[in-house]
Amino acid sequence: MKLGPYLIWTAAAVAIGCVVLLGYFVDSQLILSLRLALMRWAVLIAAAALLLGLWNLLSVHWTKVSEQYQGWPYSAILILAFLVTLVLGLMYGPDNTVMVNIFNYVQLPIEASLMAILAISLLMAGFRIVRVRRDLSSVVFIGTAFIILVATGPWLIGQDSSLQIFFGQIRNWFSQVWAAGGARGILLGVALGSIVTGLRVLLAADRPYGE
Amino acid sequence: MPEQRCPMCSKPNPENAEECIHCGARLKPLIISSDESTGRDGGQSAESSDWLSRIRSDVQASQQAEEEPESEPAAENDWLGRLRSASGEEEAQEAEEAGPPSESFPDWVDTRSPDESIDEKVPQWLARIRSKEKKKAGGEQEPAVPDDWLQSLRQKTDDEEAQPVQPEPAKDEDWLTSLRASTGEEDEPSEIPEPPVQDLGDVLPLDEIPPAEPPMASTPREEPEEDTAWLSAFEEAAGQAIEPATPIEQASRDADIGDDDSWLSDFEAATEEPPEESEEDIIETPPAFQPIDLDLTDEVPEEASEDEIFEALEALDERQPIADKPSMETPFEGLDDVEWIEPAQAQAPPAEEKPSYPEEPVSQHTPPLIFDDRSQPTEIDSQELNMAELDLPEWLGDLQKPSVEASEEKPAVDPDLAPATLPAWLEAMRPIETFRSSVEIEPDVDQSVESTGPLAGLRGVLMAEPVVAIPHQASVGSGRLDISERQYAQAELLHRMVDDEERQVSLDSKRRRRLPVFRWVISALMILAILFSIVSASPGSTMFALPERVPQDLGPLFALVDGLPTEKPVLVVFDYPPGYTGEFDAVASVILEHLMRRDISIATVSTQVTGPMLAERALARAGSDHDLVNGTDYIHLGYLSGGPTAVQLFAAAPREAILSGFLLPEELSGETAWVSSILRDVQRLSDFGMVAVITAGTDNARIWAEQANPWMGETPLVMVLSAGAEPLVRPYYEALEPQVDGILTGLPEAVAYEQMNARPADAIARWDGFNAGMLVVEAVLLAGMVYGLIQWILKPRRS
Repeated sequence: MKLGPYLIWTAAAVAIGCVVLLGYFVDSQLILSLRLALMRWAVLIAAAALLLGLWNLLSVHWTKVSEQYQGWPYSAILILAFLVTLVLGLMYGPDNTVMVNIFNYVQLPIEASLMAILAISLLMAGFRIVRVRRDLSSVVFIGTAFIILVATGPWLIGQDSSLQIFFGQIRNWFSQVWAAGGARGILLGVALGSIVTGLRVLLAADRPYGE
Repeated sequence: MPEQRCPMCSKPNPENAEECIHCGARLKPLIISSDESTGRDGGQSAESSDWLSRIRSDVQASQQAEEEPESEPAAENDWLGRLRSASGEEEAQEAEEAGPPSESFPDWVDTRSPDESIDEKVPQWLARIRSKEKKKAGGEQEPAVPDDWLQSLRQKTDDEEAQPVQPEPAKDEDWLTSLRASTGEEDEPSEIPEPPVQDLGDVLPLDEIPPAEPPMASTPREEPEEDTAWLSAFEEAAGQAIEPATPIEQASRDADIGDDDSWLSDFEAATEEPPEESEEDIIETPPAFQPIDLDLTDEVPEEASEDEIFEALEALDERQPIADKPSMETPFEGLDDVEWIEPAQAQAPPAEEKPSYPEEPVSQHTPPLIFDDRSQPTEIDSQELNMAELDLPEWLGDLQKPSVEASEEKPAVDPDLAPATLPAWLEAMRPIETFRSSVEIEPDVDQSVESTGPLAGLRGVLMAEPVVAIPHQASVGSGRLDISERQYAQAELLHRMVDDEERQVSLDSKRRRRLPVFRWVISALMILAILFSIVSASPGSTMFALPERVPQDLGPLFALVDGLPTEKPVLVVFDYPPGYTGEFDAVASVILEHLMRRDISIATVSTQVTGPMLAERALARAGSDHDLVNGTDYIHLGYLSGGPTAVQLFAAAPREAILSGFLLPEELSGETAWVSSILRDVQRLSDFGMVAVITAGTDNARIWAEQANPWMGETPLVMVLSAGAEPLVRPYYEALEPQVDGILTGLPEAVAYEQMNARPADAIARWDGFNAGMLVVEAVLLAGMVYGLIQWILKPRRS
């Protein structure tokens, strides 16, 4: 093991991780205060990272505009919107009426429209999936979706009939047994992965902060 | 004789010299012939088969004849004598002066045993031939008709050898010289002072030396094939001129020889049908054989007597030009004392007149071991057979030494013999594996000197560079790869991919742009369905029936909200993006309406940047009927940056996580939201009456459930979720120690919650549009499935 500056970073990472982890098991005001201080530093660093992200986004699109890449006008619009919002935000603050109106009348309709288009696209994909992918998984996928929709959606006739009740039970069986079982498996996997990753960082096996 | 002549280079040497001072050839034989007695013992056929010994003995005999010059009358009958006589008359005169040479036949001819009876089974015509021959030779012996005429001849020869050797004509020991003079130098006979002809009938010329055991040396009956080999060769050589019915054949028929005429039968058969000679026969055949015109049908009548046949043979002998063919080895050469052969030999055409066979270039030093039928004896020209040009081995030179001493008086003739080389016929007899025409050794000056290695400085070292250093083509084809079909296919695929990368994709201008009609149709259907539901909806009523059943999760949630204390604010987390406002405006509105109905203060926070504005928008929509006042009824904490860490920090110390607020009232300008009347008593997360997280994604729900749970205390955590996020949040809700105390999912539950709350909200207002859209979606999916299945079923049948 070579001696070097990275040992300092490794020791700092391991020590901070142990302090934060100890706060879950030890009810000590000192440890809790130290833990909160460290977490505030982490939040500040995350905020700084957000600024770096914004700077990176601006530089990328600026490059596209300057190099006249394909779709550069969209990048130009993004830069323009970014600068306008930034200037207005710096001038009036984020809670100014101007900023709220920009959000309510620009950003919100755009994103809502994107979600509506997404709904249409998903419907088209569901229509073609059986024709494009002729396998069992496609049939099972589109069949399950259809049953859930029928059980969730309205019934023009036969409301509160036994058939609707039957489809309702099928829907619950799918969502609460199959879907919940799969979700629990995913959550267990995520939890185990998080534990292992944390231990590796604590043991200095992984050094995401570099050498 | 003051000097002796080298048999190899024919140059004079001192008399006592053992080796030639010019060429180094041995002049005196290393082996003194002790086989003289055995060589003379004609009765011992086995010993007489040693032709080398016979050669030596013959040389000795000739030497003795030189010392005791007795003329051999039979020498005139010797074909060699005639050969010499053809070359020069001096030799003939000297031979006559020396007297008739002793009759000496080759041992291989002399197979006659003295003990054998001579009057048995011998053709009478042959007996007459012998008798006549002996009469011609001087009548020294009794005419005898042996059983085998060859044996009789041998006996005759032995008897003559037993007699005192007659003085040979001087200077005839060098039979090679005489041969050379008689053959190659025939044009210049005067230049070569030929010694008198001596009896060389017993001394075979080099060309006549049989290559192996003389077939006639043994009993002809035992080896009839070998005995007749020379006859076959002879017949084949003469076959072109011999008619099917020869006088000999006719005579043999008349004589009715019986068992002893096997050789004649073979000869007859060979005359009729030239046999295909085997390789051995070819090798044993003399290299040059002159075809002899034995066509005696003109001279001999069909029913001729024996005398007439004999005369015809004599005439044939006279026609045989044998002077120019000294190298021919024929059975008649050994029978040089038989007169009836001589005409046949004299009848043979000269070399220039012999029938022309298609000649192939044959190296003088590398004669082919196997001749084809066309390249048999006549293929070798007379020049090659010239004795002057024949290369004699050293051992033959040794044999010649005694003769050289006898021929000292000859003028120095520079022969054309090349030293230390083998004649062509002898080279042909050598094994082909060890055959090398010549070994060329470079002189020392021309040989390179080794410059490196342990042999540095030596000259004549075999060079390794031609084998090692000189570039040469590899014997093994290493450039060829042994690949399988799969590897070849993969290589082709990779090559194609690389080519596709380099190829510029051209705009497919020809491709007709298809309008997304189907997409437009679906969009139109959905829009029309929603518009129809909106337009057709009337206040207080819905086109689609409201759900009458309350979901099982909705009752506890409603009871929880309905039982919240009013003095504690409720923290509502708006963690959904603006795109989900269409869903969450309706879902979240019901629970906000319930809280407002109970006059519970609301504090909002968000981990999304747009969250505070969405919170403001939702509260403004929901509280329009409640006259909510910012800072009094609700307060916005704003944006909580930092992700999960910020959530944990907020859960542990809310006041330290958020230092300001969003859209704070004017009285709180310059202050934080924590100083408002709503949050004045809130120090930690557990001070809130309830935490309701409105989120569309599972991550935000999981973060709040995991990070905030340790600091939640008794404060309930409620999740208002989108329909897609429900499965991942439900495990937190259905656990034994649930981290989520209530779930409100989707518009149907919101409608049910609204119905339970009995306060109008946005859920029921959107119920008709939602259901209309759901019907369109169900219809489209059903149509897609049917369409796909039909294609799935029909397309394989088409193919």
